[in-house]
Amino acid sequence: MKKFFCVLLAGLLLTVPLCGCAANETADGRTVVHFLNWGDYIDPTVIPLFEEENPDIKINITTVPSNEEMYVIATTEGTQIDIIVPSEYMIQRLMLEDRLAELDHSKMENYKYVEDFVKTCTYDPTGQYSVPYTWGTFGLLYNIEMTGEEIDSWDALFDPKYENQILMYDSIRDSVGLALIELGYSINTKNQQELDEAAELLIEQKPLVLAYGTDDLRMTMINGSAALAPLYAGDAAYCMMDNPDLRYVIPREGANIFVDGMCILNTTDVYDAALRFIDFMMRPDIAALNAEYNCYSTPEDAALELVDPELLENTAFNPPKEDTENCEYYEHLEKNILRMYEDAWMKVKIA
Amino acid sequence: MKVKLFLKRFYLAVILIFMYLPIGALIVFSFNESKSMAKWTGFSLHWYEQLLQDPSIAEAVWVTVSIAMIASLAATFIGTLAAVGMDNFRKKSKNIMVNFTYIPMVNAEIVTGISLLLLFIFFNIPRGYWTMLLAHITFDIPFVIFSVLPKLRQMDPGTYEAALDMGARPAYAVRKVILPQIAPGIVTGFLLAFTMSFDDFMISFFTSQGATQNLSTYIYSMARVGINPMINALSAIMFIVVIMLLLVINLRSVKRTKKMPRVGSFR
Amino acid sequence: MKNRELRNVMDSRKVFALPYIAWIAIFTAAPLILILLYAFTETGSGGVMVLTAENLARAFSSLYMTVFWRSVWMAFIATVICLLLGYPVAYMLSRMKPNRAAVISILFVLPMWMNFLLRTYAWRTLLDNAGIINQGLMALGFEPVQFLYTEGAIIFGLVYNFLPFMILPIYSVFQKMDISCIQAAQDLGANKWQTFWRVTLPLSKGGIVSGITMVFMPAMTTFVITRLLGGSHFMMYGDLIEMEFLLMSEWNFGSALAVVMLILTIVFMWLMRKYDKEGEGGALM
Repeated sequence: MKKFFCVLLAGLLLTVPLCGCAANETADGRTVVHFLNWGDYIDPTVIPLFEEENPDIKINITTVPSNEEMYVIATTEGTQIDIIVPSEYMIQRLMLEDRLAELDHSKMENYKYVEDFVKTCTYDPTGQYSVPYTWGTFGLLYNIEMTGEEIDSWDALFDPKYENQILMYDSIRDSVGLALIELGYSINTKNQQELDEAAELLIEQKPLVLAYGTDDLRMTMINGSAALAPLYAGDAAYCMMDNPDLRYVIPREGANIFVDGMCILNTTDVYDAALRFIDFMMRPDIAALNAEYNCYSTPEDAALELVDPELLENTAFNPPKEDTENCEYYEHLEKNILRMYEDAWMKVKIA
Repeated sequence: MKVKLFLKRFYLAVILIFMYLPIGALIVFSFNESKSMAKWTGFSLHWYEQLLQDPSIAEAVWVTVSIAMIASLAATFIGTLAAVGMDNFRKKSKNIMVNFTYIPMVNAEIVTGISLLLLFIFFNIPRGYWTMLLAHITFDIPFVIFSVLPKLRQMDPGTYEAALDMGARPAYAVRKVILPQIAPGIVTGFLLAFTMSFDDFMISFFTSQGATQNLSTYIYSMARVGINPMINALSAIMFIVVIMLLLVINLRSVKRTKKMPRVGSFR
Repeated sequence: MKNRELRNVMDSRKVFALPYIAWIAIFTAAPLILILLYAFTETGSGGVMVLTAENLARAFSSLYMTVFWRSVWMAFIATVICLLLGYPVAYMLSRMKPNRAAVISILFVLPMWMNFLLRTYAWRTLLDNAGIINQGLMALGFEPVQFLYTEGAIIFGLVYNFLPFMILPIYSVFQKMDISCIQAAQDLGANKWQTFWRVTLPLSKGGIVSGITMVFMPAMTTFVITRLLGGSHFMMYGDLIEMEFLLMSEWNFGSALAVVMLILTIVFMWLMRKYDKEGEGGALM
């Protein structure tokens, strides 16, 4: 027994210093790519498919619920993460801070499928650091059985008659942003006064709110336990497939429009493998598979042709062009401005 | 008197039902046909089938079990040695050691987790499996030490000295005289450490930082999007396995206690 | 001469503690020093660390103290409920035949083998507006009750998760207790209540203190239960710390919040050491 312990401890002490270099390789010599993703954002069959076609690579997926957490985990010194899919404003920040690796388009066979869409991405119009994975709006999902009327405005979220039937999104930019829109301000405001007003509005709204959450709001809406929730279009489309009473609307005051792009961190040791994976993800059949699974709009027209027609008719998945014209991208904000947003949200959470 | 006995039993039963209600619900609904945990739609085993095919869950289980095993073994080794050594410290230095041993047990888990994260960042150690393991060893050791120390006190120091008098070398005497006497404490410490490690979420969450997922952090990331009944199926299986193991251990120890009355307890 | 030799050999047993001392230095002491370092510094322009008390001052400002006191209050209620529910259980266990007591005390540890997140999540689905409990209520003709996303739901979750940590230390103290004291009190004519208040309760103080510590500290710093059962409506101190680290990436300020928790830890450690004269974790386990 004691001998066993000694061997074990010796083994332990020997392996610990080696952990740094062994981290990117499995025991059988495959390259490990760490992919930091959103929850439920990729079809579960995609990874096995990729690993089958590329037997020398193993993809390790972990998930986070917000851009801010993605940023912290991806940029903390000694991070193991290689690929991330942040939204446009976070991509902007990561580009500014020089944390992303340049994508070598010549090695990406499937880049041509997103090329047109990339040109519309103001934050990275040449696709140098990111390729779009999904896009969509951040609008309002409601249960028409419970509201008894059609809704086309953010006002509903602040209406006392829906007390305890309102869900709110638990994230800084999205929640403060929708309050700003409701007040008629820009979601990228740098004005302290406007942010104070937004915080006040959200504090006033607090007694009406049933629960705050992120991805978990979907289940609550599908169960019919709440009537209204601000949600990303993809999540909304997902809910609508499971509960026919749900409707999605881009409120008339406007909304946020986002693009989530795949990026490689420049701290990676496995650039080539990561690039191969991103290229695989852009293949139209794979993009269609993912779109059908997570219900987020795909930037690839070639993939749209392969998607289930029922999903194509869903206005959350495939919104009419004129609806998105009123929408605004988030911009990256400097640290001191961001701090104002954080403080505003903190005040709401603590109140 | 009978009423009183009934009330007591009833009270215990109510508390136990409170403890086991969600577990029962999980197990029952792992056989449900649909994803719902609110509506019973029919009996089915397909979550169990799916479970066997899911590589990411298998990996999370492997991480959980292997970390709990290695961490509790290492903690048992370091902790037992430490307890044997500490027992011979002068009062003052022993006190300091005991205080430091208290820290991981009393300290808020989130603070322990974050402080270890800061340490790993400071020394630029990539977070993942190994950092999670080191963290687990750290919070496991106190459970072993505090299980072994009382056994050392109950031990008659004369036997060890007698062994030395008869010409045994210290290492031999420790192995042959001390270890057998404190063995029950070591086993308790090991089991406690294993359990703590197995169920830990908070410290694993901060020290692995997304690079490795054990069952807890896997479930946490899943809870946001709705838990897949596969996980229910998995926990039902694990739960049954643990009950079986405990039954076996318990039956054995009952036999043993009948043969050899426990020393030191008032009963 | 002989004695001295013996002493030396005995002393040499001390070396066995060396690996642990090294472990403490690296994995217990150093991380705490780092927390203090972060809490009292600030990364100024150019990445230079500057000493400052500002983080701590902010942690003690009224905005964050609201969260602190609210957490204290919620954790306090949960602890009291755990104590009231758990003490009788521990007492009953100690009066049973050893074999049966062993089985039942294992029953209280067993749930820990099912992941606590999963158990909490199960409660969430049971307590949901459309969940089984409300279905039952409606079948019986009652109005459905909004259980979830209330302070009550959080306290419920805290009690559920931490009750075993209250029962077990108290039970272990009862086990070690010299039963003749209680018998003596009864022989001397004390009635049941007198025996309880004057003898049993004081003798079990150590177990109560560790039970309280094992419930209160985790209850204050959870961030899972508030999220799953409380709908993030109410923040506990754990939510605050997690948010500052993972969402705001305010490591210095987050560390300052952790220091506030450390102060609480020291208070509880001091309390527990008072009842642990032997320095062996005493009533802790």
